[in-house]
Amino acid sequence: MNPRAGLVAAAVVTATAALALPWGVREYYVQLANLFLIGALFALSFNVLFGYTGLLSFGQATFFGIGAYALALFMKKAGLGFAAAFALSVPVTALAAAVIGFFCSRAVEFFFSILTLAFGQLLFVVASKWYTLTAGDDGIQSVLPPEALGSATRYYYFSLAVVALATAALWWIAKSPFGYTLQSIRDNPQRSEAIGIDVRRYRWMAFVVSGAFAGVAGALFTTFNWAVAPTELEWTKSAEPVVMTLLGGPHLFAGPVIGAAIFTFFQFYLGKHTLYWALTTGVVILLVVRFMPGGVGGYLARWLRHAARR
Amino acid sequence: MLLGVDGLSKSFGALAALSEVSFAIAPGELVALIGPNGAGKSTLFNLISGILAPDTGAITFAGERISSLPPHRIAHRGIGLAFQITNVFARLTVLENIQVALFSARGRSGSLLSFGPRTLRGEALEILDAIGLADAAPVTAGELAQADKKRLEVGIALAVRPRLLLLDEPTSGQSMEETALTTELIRTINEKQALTVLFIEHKMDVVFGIARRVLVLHNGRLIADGDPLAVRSDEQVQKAYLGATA
Amino acid sequence: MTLASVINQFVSGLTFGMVLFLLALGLVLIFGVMRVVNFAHGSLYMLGAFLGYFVWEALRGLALSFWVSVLAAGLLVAVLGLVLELMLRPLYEREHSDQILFTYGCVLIIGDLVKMFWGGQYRSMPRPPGFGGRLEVGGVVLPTYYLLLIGVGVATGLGLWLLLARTRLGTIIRAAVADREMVGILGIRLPRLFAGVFGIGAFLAGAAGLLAAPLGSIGTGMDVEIIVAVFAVVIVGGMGSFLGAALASLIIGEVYTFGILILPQAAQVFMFLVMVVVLIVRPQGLVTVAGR
Repeated sequence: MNPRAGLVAAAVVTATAALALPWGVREYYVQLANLFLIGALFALSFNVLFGYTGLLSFGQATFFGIGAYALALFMKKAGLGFAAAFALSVPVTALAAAVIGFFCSRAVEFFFSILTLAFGQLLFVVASKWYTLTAGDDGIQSVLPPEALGSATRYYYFSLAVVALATAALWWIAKSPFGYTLQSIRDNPQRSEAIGIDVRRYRWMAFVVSGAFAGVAGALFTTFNWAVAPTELEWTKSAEPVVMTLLGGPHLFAGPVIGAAIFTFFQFYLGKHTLYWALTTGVVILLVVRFMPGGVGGYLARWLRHAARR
Repeated sequence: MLLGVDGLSKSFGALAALSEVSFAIAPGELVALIGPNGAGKSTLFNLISGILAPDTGAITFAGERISSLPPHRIAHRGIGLAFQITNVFARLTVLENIQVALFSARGRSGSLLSFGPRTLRGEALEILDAIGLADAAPVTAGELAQADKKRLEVGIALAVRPRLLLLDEPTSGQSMEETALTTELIRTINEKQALTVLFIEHKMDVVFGIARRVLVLHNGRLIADGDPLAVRSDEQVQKAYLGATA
Repeated sequence: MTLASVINQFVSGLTFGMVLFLLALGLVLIFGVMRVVNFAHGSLYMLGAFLGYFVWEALRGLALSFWVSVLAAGLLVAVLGLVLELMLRPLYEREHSDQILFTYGCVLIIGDLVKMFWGGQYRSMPRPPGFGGRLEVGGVVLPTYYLLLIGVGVATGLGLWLLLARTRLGTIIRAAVADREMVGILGIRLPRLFAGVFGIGAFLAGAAGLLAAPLGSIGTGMDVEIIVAVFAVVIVGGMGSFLGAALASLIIGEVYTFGILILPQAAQVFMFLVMVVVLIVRPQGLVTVAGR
């Protein structure tokens, strides 16, 4: 099969299935699909840093959480409507990412990972202790979507539209000169600097882009979940996009999406039987790193290349 | 004067890698930099391109002082550098390697307004043509043979659209035929594009085949500077290379 | 605030700094020799606290039971460290991110296993006999256990310094920290060196876990809490020197402890302020090794 035609066919099938899903399955599965969409966007945002810029962040939940809290606070504390709150929570997250990224982008390799973990923990402490603003460990409750998005199906379509748009934007960014520049930095920062690229500044910009899209995912989550709590900022939450991306493959644009699908599937099967989700995540990370570098996407990419050569 | 190096010194701990080096290069020159291993040649390149900061001394480029600027600023002033150890973008394709450098040269590195694969593609292909890698355009750079990586390295430096090209051992690891191609390429770049070139080289036939001026570094000092014939017969240079002690 | 209470606070800052120092030492040692950042170092610390506690409970009433359990905590965790190092081996030739991910995965696994087996309740460890009291000097009240911990920290620092300066292993480690390729060339058996270094680092972390237990309580979540503080130490002090680690441990220990006076709920904030200032002023850390 011609790989390009195969990809197009796969895309059409996926899109049709995504649109038709609520007619075919019970509400529970619609919710699960919604969770997958949010996870996929979360993982894609992580991969802007990891797969495209070569920076391994252990604090991606920071921005997921900021987006989630921003939406809740705009609605509950500022009394804004859903649309305005949603639209505002994204620039707010980007701003937070700009501030935190200013410091984190000064560090590379493990120092970057250390810093993102540390800043994530700081935000977690703030969210769980600042009772007057965040209601502490209890979280902010009953953050409801508007009437028009009130049912599981309707909210699913809303998520689908937002995630599809965001994914298209991320794809375009990856394919733009900016995206190429980030990839050059991933491959060889010293060489990038020598061809005139201000590496630190571009790493910072990548950080802001990544944070903003994580914020979109977080905002989507709040009104999906009807509540937001500090667990959304916890470091174990940051492990989710890591394991999704590793599973799906960081070197393929769609890798994190594939990984999110596998992750959600696991969550569905194991979630009922085990409380020990971090344990599973950790074991999967170890196994994938050791035995399947490149993830599922790695195999897929190899297969596509192989097919293209024939 | 395009490049001016004035009283440049650099030490690493107790080791003086360069001491009091001064010279100037005029536009259009083709200059070779030679010297035994450890003479300080790569250190000099790293200082000019801003990867290292000098202890004392100054570097000027086109009349402006560049010795305190970060590497990416210096690149934008018009200095292209090809590294000794190949330093290509391993996971990008050969074509993309050139494109990334072109984006930077045109101030479009941060652009979101065009589709990368089609942006400046023609121009990138021209450069690949010039360095003889046109057929390898879709190959992932990390999979190239060593000699081809070396060529791509020169191509990336060219794509920055420099006024001064610094080449660190452009022919290392290349066969005789490949060396001849590279030598010819350097000559063409210098003559047709009127590009000033300063290159480090160990192969003396390459040096004396194309350079019109030779700088010799020895133990961090500039011991000779002149046309190839004069340098070849210089007593100090012979001592440095033959290790003869009087 | 009186001078006496400032001194009190200073001494407890010093005590916490010593705990951080024991952890930072291992982290810097492992990083220096293997170029691997052990994200699971805080998890080893937590395991040391739990395992040591159970040993202590089993030996309850025996003389020296506290000290035996400190040793046991260190040794048990060291054994685990050796196992981890063995599992890490196939990844040495890979990209750094793979090694980081491995130790990160271990944090998740150890954290959840501890929660699974011993989660739920907090455990408290009394101070060892002979060190339950306080020393009063002109209004300054100093718990003797604090002084003991400071002593242990200083002794470990000196011991390690002796090891590095006077023994063959120390020479090899110093050479490896300065230039890893050199050691390979010198014909030293890297696998054994790596295992040894990982073992020493894990031992220090495990022992520190139990030594610190009487200062607070033993519970889940102490892994990430401590690793963030230790990371602040290595960001302030750099990864390249033991002196930097010592200095930064004391700074972070003091900042954290005095921070509690100002903002008891979120003393970590001050730690971050120091970190951020260092990142702006000296991104490479306070102490940098000459020539690097």
